[in-house]
Amino acid sequence: MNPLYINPTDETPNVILDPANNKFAFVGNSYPENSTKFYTPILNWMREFIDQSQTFDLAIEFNFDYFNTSSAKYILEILRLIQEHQNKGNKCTIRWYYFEDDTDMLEAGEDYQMTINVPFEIVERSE
Amino acid sequence: MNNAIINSIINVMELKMKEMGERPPAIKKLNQILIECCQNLIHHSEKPHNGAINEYPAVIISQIDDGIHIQTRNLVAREKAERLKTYIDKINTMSQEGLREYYQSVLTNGQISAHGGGGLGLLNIIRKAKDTKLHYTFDPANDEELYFNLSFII
Repeated sequence: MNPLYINPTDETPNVILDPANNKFAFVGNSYPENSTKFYTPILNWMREFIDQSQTFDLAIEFNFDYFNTSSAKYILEILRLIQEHQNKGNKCTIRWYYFEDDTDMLEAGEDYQMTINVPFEIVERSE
Repeated sequence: MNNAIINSIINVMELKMKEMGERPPAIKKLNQILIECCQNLIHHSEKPHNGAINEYPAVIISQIDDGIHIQTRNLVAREKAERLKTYIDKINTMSQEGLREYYQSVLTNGQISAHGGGGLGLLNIIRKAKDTKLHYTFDPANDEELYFNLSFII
């Protein structure tokens, strides 16, 4: 399956979904004017990937500086797809980064951790 | 208003905050709340009539003794005003922990609107507001619309 790469902008994250190199990451800001338009191709790619990849252990990183509330909904959808992939017997891990002092991003990670039943590591990073 | 304007506002505020000697976490917090407020204005304002300048969405940021005071003003349909009032009155009674639980429940169970909004904007704002309180008034604009004035301190 072809990888999905999206270059970052001020308001959208760098997206790396690359099974061949086993690299899955979201890095940067996420506050697009229209979150549906930005996240729909990503969700479509993820769905196709989990449909096609019956056995594939998946480790994914979320390294956001900031995301708005409408992105929050789509991040949850991505996490739900990862859980679905795990439920098929694949080993999945999520790594959630937050800057030291950024309690909002820490809490956001904790909220997702409580919602999703996938090994979920929260990691502090320094500026 | 669009994201280009939001980014300009953020850049100006970032410079101002640095001049005032604010630390990066405080600058980041202000940026985040401005993005959420301005995107709320983009998605929920009625269009101005005949280009009337006072009918465009507005945001005012001022430094006061208690912190940073943020005010927004936008045109809303009268039928929306009652729903907004009921909703803000409800979340104004919640504690920080109650707001977090409510946010969690809307995040996991709520629907996503056409523009990608999830009904979480005001909840996110109130969670960052001092004393978890939002202040609001409605002023008459015309037969169909009101001005919605929202203010809070961070």
